[in-house]
This record gives sequence, structure tokens and C-alpha cells, in this order.
Amino acid sequence: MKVIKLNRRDFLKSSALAGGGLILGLSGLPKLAQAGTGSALPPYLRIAPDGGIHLGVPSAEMGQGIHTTLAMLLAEELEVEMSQIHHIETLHHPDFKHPTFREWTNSKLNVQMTGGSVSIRAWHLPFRKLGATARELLRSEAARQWNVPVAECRATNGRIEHSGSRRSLGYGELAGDASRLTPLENPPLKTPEQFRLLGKPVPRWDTPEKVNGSAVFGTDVDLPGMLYGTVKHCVVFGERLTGVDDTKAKAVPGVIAIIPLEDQAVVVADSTWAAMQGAKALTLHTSGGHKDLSDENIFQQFRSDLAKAGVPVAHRGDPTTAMGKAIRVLELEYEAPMQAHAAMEPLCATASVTPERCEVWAPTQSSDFAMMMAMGVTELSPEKIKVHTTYLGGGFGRKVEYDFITAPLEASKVLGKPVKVTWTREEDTRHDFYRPPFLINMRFGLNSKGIPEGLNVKLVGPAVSRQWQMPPPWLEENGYDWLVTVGMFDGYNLPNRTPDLSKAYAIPNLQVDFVPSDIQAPTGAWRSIGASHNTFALESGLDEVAQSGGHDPFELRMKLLTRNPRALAVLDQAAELSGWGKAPEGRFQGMGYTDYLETFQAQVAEVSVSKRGKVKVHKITCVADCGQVFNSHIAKQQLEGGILYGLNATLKGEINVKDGQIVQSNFDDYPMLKLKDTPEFNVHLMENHEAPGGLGEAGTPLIGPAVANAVFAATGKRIRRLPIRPKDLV
Amino acid sequence: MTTLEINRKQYKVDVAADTPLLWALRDQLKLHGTKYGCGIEQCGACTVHVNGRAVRSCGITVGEVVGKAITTIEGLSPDSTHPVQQAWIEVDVPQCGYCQTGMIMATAALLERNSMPSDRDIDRTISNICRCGTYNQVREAIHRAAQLKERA
Repeated sequence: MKVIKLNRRDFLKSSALAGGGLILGLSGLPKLAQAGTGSALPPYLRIAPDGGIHLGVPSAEMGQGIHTTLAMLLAEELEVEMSQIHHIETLHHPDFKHPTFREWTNSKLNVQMTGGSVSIRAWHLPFRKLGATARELLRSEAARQWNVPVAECRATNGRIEHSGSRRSLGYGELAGDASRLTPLENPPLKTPEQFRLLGKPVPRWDTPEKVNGSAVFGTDVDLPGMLYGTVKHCVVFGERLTGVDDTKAKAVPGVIAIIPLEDQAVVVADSTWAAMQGAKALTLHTSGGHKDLSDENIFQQFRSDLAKAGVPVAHRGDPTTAMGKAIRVLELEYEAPMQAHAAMEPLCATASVTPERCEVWAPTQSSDFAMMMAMGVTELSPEKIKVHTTYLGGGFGRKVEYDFITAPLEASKVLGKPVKVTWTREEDTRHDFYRPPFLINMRFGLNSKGIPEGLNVKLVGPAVSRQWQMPPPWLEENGYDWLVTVGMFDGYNLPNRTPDLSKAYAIPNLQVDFVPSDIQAPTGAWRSIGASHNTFALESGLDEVAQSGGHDPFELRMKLLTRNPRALAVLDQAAELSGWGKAPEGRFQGMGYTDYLETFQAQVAEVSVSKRGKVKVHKITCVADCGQVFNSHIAKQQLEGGILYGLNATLKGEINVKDGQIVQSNFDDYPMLKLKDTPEFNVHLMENHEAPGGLGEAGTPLIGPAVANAVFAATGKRIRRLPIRPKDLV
Repeated sequence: MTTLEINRKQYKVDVAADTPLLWALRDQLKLHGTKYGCGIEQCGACTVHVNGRAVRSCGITVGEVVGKAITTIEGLSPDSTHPVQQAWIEVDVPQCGYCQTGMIMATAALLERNSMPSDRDIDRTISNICRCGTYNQVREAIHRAAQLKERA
């Protein structure tokens, strides 16, 4: 019953076997255009005889609109309308290992994964080329059939038309024969002026099935003979299961089996409700566990670790001399508490395991990690395992983990029937991989004008990547972990990259260090990872620098970013659109700026604070330069949604640890923003053709400091720990 | 066996009377458009109509709805032509989509009682949780649905 842990090397070796080599991005494309002609691999572009386009894509659809955008990129070049895209699915495929993660890690991280706001960045060109490759094959085939030059054959609206005659053929009529031709290595791509679809607010492809209830999420998978399960974890972190008392659980009508695992028991029944009732009645016997763990001792540990030397993250100039020469040193400390992901769809997965085969259906951000779990539990070779990625009812970084794949695999293996396991909201809240708690100490060395000439930063918190079963290659021996340092002058300091601080704030002398301080609670990737705590500290800190030197926070940022014209442009635009400095009576503004994932962005929050300390956010202005935009509607959705995700962590709940366990459990004690709390938005996208930056997480980290800075403007009270609590303001 | 009237059809369900309606819909009748989100009537992902009123189906038992008219998202319209669904498509509201069917059901019930809800009415009535942050598009779509419904 124990989960067999695979090391990363074994996993990569076997998945290489499965895919017949680690084929990279484009090298696989010509083959794909012809898929269905005897290849053992599943096709990712199929043009059916009826002309319908069937598309397999690398990225999981978790709300970010990636299915739509990838289909648009293909449709643009293929010269079809979106209505001709009949089918889109997230396909588990060796060609879909993520090129950006490979690029960042010297090819050491070679997995199919959706995360890090890098789907468009990685796949926009391959999908355009895929469309263009197919288009050129279809043109060539028509030319061959008509015995005319290819130049006279024009692709339009799903047909090839001959300019010299009235002849035309539909793609479906040409597709079969076209697949015998040799595809072009470098098919011509359209110029931005020729775009019909790209850049426009094209309706999402997934909307129709999401408004009639037919969209299949992980929780909706349904197989013949399927059983239903739920999990009950040991409550205290680090506890192990030694046994169960299942007498009462088994007495619950419908309960079929109780399967104890390492740190949890799976309750299987003839319905999810019976399984949940069974889990309630089940008593777990446990040993070990970190029963003393609490918020207090976590932050005590951070405070004592603050004195330790850290791992260098960023360095510029001569910070020691600059700090020595400073007229004044402003020392500031910021804290970020833990947060849960709280996706609306609780964790769930379905597995069907037989001695010969295994299939998994999961709302996963990484089909490769799901495959790894399935290999570990079943001991089957990868060609006998199939992973299906369903729609995700929200991911936010939680579903990049693979802990939730274990229970259905183990249960199905034991019971010989398909099992769907759905976690309760309580289990989902209490057994997350939380946003890590962090302590950030900043010392700004100011000159006589109050402008920072030097900066020392220490980040203290867990190196979250260290907990992963498959330690990622960016995690250095010394604990340097990009996942938590990003956003604090890290300059994309990844193993395969030279840190680039040229676009960051022009503080000429700085030193940023990270002191790894691991805790006995699971932490992970929470929408915007390290930028979440680092942006809060840096953008609030700069506001303090501005206030202490009598500078306007907008002017100070402009002054520190003169070498970054894209930054200046978004700041200018944000000041203009928000009416910076001209807030209506009773309302106050706060500002922030980031260049997270090469998206340059400024936000202005307009707030009021009641006498009882209740903060109301009235209006948020967000100006982003994320390079080329492919779907303006989806881009705005991502920014607005990302901001509200961050606003939730600014104004609502937090996750606390007491006696080694999580205090909160459901939406009654971990409240969420609702419609009535939602401010007015003005989201503006800069128009250009720069390389696309990340968008899925970009909005999240900046709203906290923008609101906190506005609260300072309103009350004179500085928020150094989120969420903002009314008692801090009265 | 209990008989329930769902989407104008009679269904037989073989569950205990104290089973929440949500789980009879999902696991027995495979009406998966109604979602489980919290189980404590906080999030609204499981909203259905019982005798025309929006009800969180995780908090009402099968026994309590016998003899009542239940409507789920699958029965709101046969072809997504209900004004609320039409408005949702026009505004292109969903992101992940998990909470959206509950939002739509809550809105459809609101418009039956209040054909032109103000922003304040919407704030008071629509308390469903969305983690993707579609709230402003939901508000826009509610106003649009009210217009479409009036015209129909």
C-alpha cells in the first residue's frame, strides 16, 4: 500500500521510452501534420473528412483561456474560422514537454506542465507554425490535383481556391491526400497586419459548454462500474498512519472499503456522499507529527534565522560602501502569512487500474507528474498508462502537485474497479501546499534627497522546491530557490540564465540574500509564487521611502525606472487613467509597479477606510505591457482575475497553523471575496509586438501593496503584514 | 426508491431520504452540471431551483424535495437559449467555469423575482463564490440577461 517513490532519473528515462525520444517542440511538427498515418503517437492536429479541426494541445485549461488562444494561433495561419475547431483537448504527448522550462534549466526539467505563466510564451510560435504547415500542405495538394502552380492556390475560410478558375476544394476533401506530401520545414507566417483573429477579443471556445453544464471537470468523470471515494488525512503535519478503527465507517450504508495509506485513508463507497459519511465516522490511529508547529514558532524561527548569512540572489555595485555613506537608513520588515489555493473544484481524480493497464483522469497541471504517480503505484511501464487531462475547476499552482492522484490509483488497484476520489472542501483546505510564510527585511540607504543609493534585503522562509518528490534543477545545494526569490531583484536568476537587472529599479548598490528556513508544513506554488510576498515588501517599502523623503510615489518610481521605457509608459498611462493625485473626496490612492515575467505593469487602487477600520476598494486601474496580445478579452480576464485572487489575500482570510495543524477548514472560516466586494476595474493593455510576457499570474502580486499604500494614504497606518485587518487600522 | 421531479421529468433515486439533493443529482442521476464546492451552503456552486427558488442543493435533502419541482442547469433550457445563458455567452463570462452553472441558476431565480435588479440587489442576492474573479462580468451579464428577458 506504500507509494513507491521514483527518482527523477528513472522517471525521465521511462518517459523517454514512451515517447520514442525527447522530441522537442517544432522538430515534431511536420510529423504531426500527417498524424493518423500509422504513427503510434496520438495526433495533435487532425483535419477530419468533414473539414472539422481536432486539436490536441499541451496546456491544461484551468480558466486561463489557453485552449482558445492556442486554437486561434493555429486557426489564424490555417485560415479557418474558430467555428471549424470541432474538438480541443489537453493531450499527454512527448512533443509537449515544455520548452521554456527546458530553456531555463539546461533541459533538466523536461516535463509537460502548465504553470509559471509561460504557455503562450512557449507555444505561440509552434502553434502558428503547425497551422501554417498544414495550410501549405493543403495548398500543395490542391495544386497537385488541379495541376496548377501552388502560387495560384489560396487558402481561405477552410477551403483552397484557385485564382485562375472557379475551382475550390474544402480542407476535408484535401486532408487525406495532403498527408502524403512532404511538409515545408519553414512555412511562411502571416505578418501582424494580416491577422484576422489574433489580438481580437475572440469569444472563448469553452464558453458554450460552461454555461450549459456539459463541460467535464475532474469531478465529473464517469466510468461504467465506477466506485466513489474520498480521503481522510492525518490531521497533524508529518503524522503517519499506524492503523484505523473502521467499525463505524463500515457501518455507514454504501461504504465498501477503507484503504489505509501512508498519511491518509481512502474511503470507497457506492456514492461520494456515503464515502464522505464513512470518512467522518472513521478513526485514524497515528504516530509522530509536528504537534508543536504554530505561526508563532514559524516566525520566531524566521526572526532568529534573519541573523544568518544567506544565499546570494542579486548583487549590484558596492552595497557596503553605499550603506555606510547613507545619510539615513530606513529599515523595514514585512511579513506574509500562509494562504491556501482554494480552487472552486476540490481536489479529485479518477483511476482505472488492472494488472495490465492503467488510466488516469485528472484535473492536473502536469500530465507527466500524474504519469509518474501512476508508474509509482502500479509499477506498470509508461506505454501501459494513459493520462487524460480534464478541465480544471481552477488550478492556481495547487494542481501542479500530484498528491491527489495517489488515492484513486491505490483504491482502484486494490478493488479492481475504476474509482473516482473527491476531496471534501475541508480536506482541500487543510492539506494544501500553501503559499509559504515569509519574513522580508529591507534596509534602504538614502541620500540627502531621500533617494535610495543602497539596498540590503534578506528574504527568510522555506525553500519550497526542496519538498518536492522530484527536486527541480533550479534548486541549488545551498538552498537557493528561484520559486521564492522571484520578484526581489532576482533578474530571472535561473541556472541557465545570466541575471538581468537592467530593467529593475535603478538602485545602484544592492545585495539581496535568501536565508532558507524550512518549516514542517507543506508549501508550494501559489499563483505568482515568490513575487507574491516579494512584491508586497518591495512596493510597500518604496512607498515608505517616498513618504519619508517627501516624494510622490509615482514620481519616485519614474525616477528609478528611467532606463526602462516600457515601465515609464505603463506608469504614465496608469497615472493618467486613474487620475493619480486627484482622488475623489474621502478616497485615497496607492500605487505599485512590477515587471513580473516580462510583463510590465502598474496598478493604482482607490480605497476608503471606515471609522471601524473596514477597507473598501472602490476602483482598480491596471495598465500592463505584456508584449503582443493574442486575445484581448482573455488577457483582461487574466489580469482582472489575477488581481481579485491577490485582493482576496489582501482583504480576506489567511491560513494559520496551531498545534501542528491548519486552523481553517472551509469558506466559513476562510472567507472569499464576493460580488459585493468587487471593485470597479479599468484594465488597459499597451499595444505592441514585443515578445509575449506572462499574464496568468501577473495581476496577483501587485494589488496587495497598491491597496496597502492606499490605506496608508487614507489612515497614516502602514500595513506590514497582510491581510489587512480592521483592528490594525483603528 | 424515491421519485423526484427534475427538469419536468420523473426520476427514481435509490438513496436514503437524508442524502443531500446534490449527491443524488451528481452520483445517481449523472446530472454533473450541479457542482460540489463546499458542502456547507457557502459557495453556491450547487445552486438549483426548487419550486422556482434558488436553493443550495448541498443543504437540502432528497426527502425535503419530494413532490417539488426541481430544475438543474441541464433543464434551464434545452439548447442554452435561456436569457441568462445567452447573456453569459454574449459577455463571455466564464474562466475555469466551475462556479458558473451555480451563478447562472442563482441569476435565473433572481430575475424571476426581480426583473430589473439594481447593482445593490445583485450584491445582496448573488453571494456565490468565484475564485477566477469573473464577478464584474457576472454583474454585466446579469444586467444584460434582464434586458434580454424583458425583450423576449
